[in-house]
Amino acid sequence: MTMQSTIEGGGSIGSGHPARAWAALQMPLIATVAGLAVTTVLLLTMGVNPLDVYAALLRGALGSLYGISSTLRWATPLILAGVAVTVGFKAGLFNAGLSGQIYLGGFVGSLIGFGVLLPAGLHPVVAILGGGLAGAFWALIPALLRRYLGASEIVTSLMLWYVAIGISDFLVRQFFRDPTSAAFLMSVKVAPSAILPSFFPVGNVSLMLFAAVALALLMSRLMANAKIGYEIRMTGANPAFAHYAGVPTGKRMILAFCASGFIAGMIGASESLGINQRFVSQFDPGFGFDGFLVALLANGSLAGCIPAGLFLGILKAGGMEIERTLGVSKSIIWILQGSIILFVSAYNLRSYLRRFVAALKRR
Amino acid sequence: MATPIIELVGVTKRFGTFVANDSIDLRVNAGEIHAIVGENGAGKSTLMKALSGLQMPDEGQILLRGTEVVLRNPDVAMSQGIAMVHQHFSLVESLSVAENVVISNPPRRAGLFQRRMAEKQVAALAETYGLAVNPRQRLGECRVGVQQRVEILKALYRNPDVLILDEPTAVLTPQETQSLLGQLRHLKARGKTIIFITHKLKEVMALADRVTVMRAGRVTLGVEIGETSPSHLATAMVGHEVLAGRRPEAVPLGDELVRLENICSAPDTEGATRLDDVSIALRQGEIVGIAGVEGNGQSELIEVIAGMRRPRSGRLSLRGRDVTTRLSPATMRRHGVAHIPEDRIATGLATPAPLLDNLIMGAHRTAPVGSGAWLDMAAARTYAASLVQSFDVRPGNLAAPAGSLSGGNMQKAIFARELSSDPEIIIAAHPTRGVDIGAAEFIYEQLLERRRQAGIILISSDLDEILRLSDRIVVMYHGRIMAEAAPHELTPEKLGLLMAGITPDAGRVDRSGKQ
Amino acid sequence: MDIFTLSLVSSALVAATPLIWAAMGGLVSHQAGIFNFTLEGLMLFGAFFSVLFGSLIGNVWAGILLGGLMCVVLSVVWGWVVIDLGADQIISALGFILLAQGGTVFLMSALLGQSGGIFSPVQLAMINPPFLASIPVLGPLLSNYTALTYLSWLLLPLFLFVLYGTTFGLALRAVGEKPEAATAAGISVRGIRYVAIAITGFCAAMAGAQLSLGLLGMFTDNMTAGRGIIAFAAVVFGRHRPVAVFLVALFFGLAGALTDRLQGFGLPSELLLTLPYLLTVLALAASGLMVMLRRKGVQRQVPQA
Repeated sequence: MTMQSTIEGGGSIGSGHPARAWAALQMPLIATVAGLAVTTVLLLTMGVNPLDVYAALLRGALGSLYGISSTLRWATPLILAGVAVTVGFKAGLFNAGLSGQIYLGGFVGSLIGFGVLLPAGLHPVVAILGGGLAGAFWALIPALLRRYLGASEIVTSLMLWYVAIGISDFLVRQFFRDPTSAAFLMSVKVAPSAILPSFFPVGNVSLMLFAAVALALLMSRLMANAKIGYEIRMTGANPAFAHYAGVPTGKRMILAFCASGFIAGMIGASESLGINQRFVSQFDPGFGFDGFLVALLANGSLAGCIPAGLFLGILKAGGMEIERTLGVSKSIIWILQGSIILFVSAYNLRSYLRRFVAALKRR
Repeated sequence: MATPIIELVGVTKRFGTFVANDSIDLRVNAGEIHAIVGENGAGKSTLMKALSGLQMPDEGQILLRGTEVVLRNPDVAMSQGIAMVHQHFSLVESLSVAENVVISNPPRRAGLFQRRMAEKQVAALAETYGLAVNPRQRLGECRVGVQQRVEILKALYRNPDVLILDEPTAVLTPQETQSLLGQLRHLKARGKTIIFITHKLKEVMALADRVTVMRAGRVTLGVEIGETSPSHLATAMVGHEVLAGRRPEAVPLGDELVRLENICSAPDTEGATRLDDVSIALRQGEIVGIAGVEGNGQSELIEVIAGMRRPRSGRLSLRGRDVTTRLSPATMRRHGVAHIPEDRIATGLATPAPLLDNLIMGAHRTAPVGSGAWLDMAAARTYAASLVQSFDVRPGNLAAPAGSLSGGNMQKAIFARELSSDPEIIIAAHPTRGVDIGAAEFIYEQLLERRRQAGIILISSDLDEILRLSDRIVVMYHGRIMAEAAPHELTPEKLGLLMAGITPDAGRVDRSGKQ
Repeated sequence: MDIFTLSLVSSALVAATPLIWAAMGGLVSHQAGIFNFTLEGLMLFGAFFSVLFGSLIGNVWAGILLGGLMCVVLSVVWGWVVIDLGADQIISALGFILLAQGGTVFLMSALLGQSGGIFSPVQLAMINPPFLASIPVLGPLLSNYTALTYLSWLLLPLFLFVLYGTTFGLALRAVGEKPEAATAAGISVRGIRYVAIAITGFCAAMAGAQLSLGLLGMFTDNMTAGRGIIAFAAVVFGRHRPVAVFLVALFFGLAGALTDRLQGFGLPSELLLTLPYLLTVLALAASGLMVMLRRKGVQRQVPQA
C-alpha cells in the first residue's frame, strides 16, 4: 500500500465498482499468499508440518465459542488501530508511534478509572474519551514538529513511544502502584463503575467492538463525503496542490494526525478498562505494528479495516493455540505478519507472478 | 551512394497500446548535420533513446555503417561511437565539472579515482573543441550555458562519431543559441556526425543539412535542406496548413486589477532567483506576457501573485487594496485569482486522486458541490461532468486518477477547474508546455476569450506564444524588469538582447547579474 | 557529583560503537538513494546470528563474520523487494523489522529450544593495542575496548576515502543524487544500490555483534531496543554528511552512557531511559529548525511534504 492506493481507496462503501474492489484487494491477497509461503517454507525447514500449524490456527480462532470470543476480543483493538493508521495515511502522514499513543491512552484511561467517581454508565465512556484525548495530545507533538519544523513524524512519533512508556511507568510506580504485586508493575484496580463489561457468554468482548465497527464506518463516511475529509485527502494526495488551492494543509495534517492519536488512545483505554481493569505495564502486545498491518491489508479503505481487523484477530487468537498444542513458538505469526508487510507494497510482484504462471502454463 | 553511418529500419516502440515509434526508417549520412523535427509527443525523443541505448526498440534494426548493432544500454552505444547530449541535463550538481565529464569511464588505478588526470583530460578536451569550462568547478555553481558545454564535453569524452542532441536550445538565450550553433558547425568540421532534435524551425534552416519530420510516431518527410522551407516543414509536422497566428482584436481595457510595486524577494532555496524591484500592473481586458529565459524570476513572480511567496519589500495591491501583509494562497483565491501553474504534476493536480476530486477543488467550499459541512456527491459529479464536457477533457472518466491523463488533457482539466469560477485575475504559466497542438490552440482561444472579463498574466519561454497573445510584453532578467513594450515594438533581436540582460539602446550590460 | 569523569567518555565510546556502525552503514545506502530504515532489524539479526554461529563454531570472529554474511544476504533480500519488486521503502522496512523480531525469537525457539535469550560461550575480548596505550594523556582512554569499537573509529576516514577517492564512490554519489545521469553514463544504478544495501547489512551486523558478543555475551529478545532507529535518525540529522552523521552517532552514544550513569544517582530509571529517545526528537526538531533558519526569510509557504 502506498499513498497512492490510500487515496484511490478514498471512496466510502458502496461507491466503488467491483473492479475497483478487486484492484484494492489484489496486493493484500498476494502479500498474504507470499507471507504464507515464507512461513510454510520456514516451518518445513524446521521439520514442522505447516498444515498442522494452520489447522491449529483456525481451530484456535474459530473452532470454539471461546475461540470466537478470543478472535473478537482481539479484533476490537485491531480494527481501531487499523482505522487510526489509515486516517493518518489519508493526510500523507505515517503514525509509526501509534503504540505510544495507545500506551498513554491506557494510562490516562485507567487514571480516570480509579481516580474519579462517576456513575456506572458514564464512567467508562468518560475514561475512554479521556484516553483518546491523551492519545490525541501525544500525537499533537509530532504533528506540530512536522508542520512547523519539517521533522519526520515517523521518527518523532516512534521515539515518543519510548517516552510514553517511561512517563507512564514512572508515574504508576511512584504514585499509583498496586502494592500487592511485586513482580509486575501495575496500577491499582479501577473502580467497578469504570469497568467495561463483556457481553459475550465467554471470554471478554465488550461493546467496544461495536464502537470500533461504528467508528470505522463513520470515518469512512467522513473521509469520503465531508468537506474536511476531502481536504485531508487532497492534502495527502498532493500537499503543494492543496496548498496552492487555498486548503489550510497544515491544519488538516494536524487534525488527521491527532484524530489518529485519539483513536489510538481509546484503544489503550478500552484495553485497560475492559481487559485488564487496571493499568498494566507493557499491556500493549504490539497493537502499533498490528494496526499498521490491518491498514495495509485494508489498502487504504477505512471500512476495509473491519474485515482486515477480523483476519488479524483470527491470527492472534489462533497463534496462542499453535503454541499451546504444537509447541511452536507463536512468533511464527509475527513472521507471517512481517512478511505480509514486507511484500504488500511490492507491486512488481504481480508481474513476477504473471510470468511465473505463464511459465508454468507453458510446461 | 555511400553507406549511411546510421540507418534505422522499421524501428517500432510501444508503451502498452500507445505506439510511440511506428516502423521508422531513417538514414543519416556521415559528417552531416541531421535535424529531426516534430511537435511534442511526435516520438523524437523515444527514437533517440533507442539510438543512444537508453531504451531498446520492440521491433526493427539499427545499422551502424551497414552492420546491425544491438544497443542494449548507453555503455554499448558509447562504445559503438554514439553519444547523446540530453535535454534535461543529466549532470550531477554536487560533482565537479571534470567528474561529470569522465563519469562514464573515469581514469582509474586499482579502483582509485585519478582525479588530477581527469581534470587534465577535461581541460585538454575543452581546449580542442573550444568549449570553455573550469574542470574543478562544482557543477551546481555553473551557469546554464556552461552546463550545456559540460554536457557536450561529456558526450565528446567518449570520442564518438555520432553526437545526438535533444532540444539543445530549450533553455538558452538567442545569443547562447547562436554560440551553440557555431560550436556544432565546428564539430561537423572536425568530422563528427550530428543529429539534433528540435521543434524550432529557424534553427533547422540555419544549421541542418538534412531534415526528417516526425508526426504521431511516424516519419512524414525526409528531405535535403535546400528542398524545403519552414512552412513546408511545419505542414509536415502538423498535418494541415498552419495558419499564421491571427492577431487578436483589441478589447477595451477595464479597471486595474493587480499592481505590484517595487517588489523584492529573497532567494530561499538553491537556485531560486531574487526579485529585484519588480513593478507591474494588470488591467482587465489585457494579457501581459512575461518573456525571459526560464529561471530569471518568472517562477518567483508567479509565486508572489499567487500568494505563495511573501515579498521582502514592496506592495501588492488587488483592485486597489493593499494585500501585501496578508498574503497567502487562500487570500488570493478569495480575491478571485486563478492560477494555472507551470508544473501541472507538482502543483496543478493531485495525480493519484480521481479526476473528480481534482475538478471540484475550490468549488467544494460552496454550493452546489458543497453543502454545509458535507459534499453533495451527486452535484459534484454533475459539476465535474459539465467541466469535462465544455473543456473536452479526454477520457472523461471521473473515477480515473488524474495522473492517467495525457499532458494536454491534464492541462485542459486544470484550465477547466481554474476558469470555472469565472476569475477576474488569471495567471497562466507555460500553459502549453508539453501539450499537443490541438489542445494548445484550444488553450489560446480560451485565454483570448477570457480576457474580456479578466486580466491575464502569461508567462512563457515560447517567444512566439508571447508575441502572439500579449497586449503588452514585459521582459525579465535576473529578477528585474528589463523592459515593457507592445509586441510590435519588440523585434526578436531586441527581445533576445533584453532576455540576456542587455539594454539594446544604451548597449550596456546588466552588471547586477552574475557573469 | 562525579558524573563527568573519564569513565563516562569511555562508556560513551562503547555505547556509540553500535550506533556508529549502523549509522555509517545506513549512510552508504542513503548515498545510493535508498532510504534504509531496516537498520533496527539488521542489527537484531546481526546480534542473533553472531551469537548463534559463535556458539556453534566456538570462535568469536567466525561468529561475527558469519553473522555479517547472513545479514548481507538478508539485507540484499530486502533490497530485492524494494528495488526489483518495487515495494515502498519505509513500509517494507517496517515489515523487515517485524520479521527480525519474530524471526530471531522463532529461530531461538526452533533451533535451540530456548526463549528469552541465549548465552554465548564465546565473547568478544577487550583488547589493548600497545601503541595506543602509550599515548601520554589519552592512553587510558583509548585502551580496553573491543576490536569492533576500534574499527568503528576507522569508519569515517574509510567512508570518506571510498566516496571521494574511488570510482565506486564516484558512481555512488551520482546514483544517489541523480540516477538518470548515472544510467546515461552507463552505470548500473541497480547494481550500485544492491552493493550499497549489502554494505549496510554488513555494518549493521557488526553493530549488532557489538551489542551481543561485545557487551553482554548473550542475545536477548529485542535487545536492540530502538537503537537502529536512533542510528537512522543520526543519518537524517546529519543530513547525509559523513562527518556530521559520525559525530551525531557519537553524541547519541554519549547520551546513552549518561543515562546509564545517572541511573546510579537515584533518578528514576524509567524517566532516564527515555532520554536517548527524547534527545532524538529534539535533534530532529533542531535539524528542522536549522534548515528553516538557513532559508532565512523563507517566504514560500508550501508545507513540508
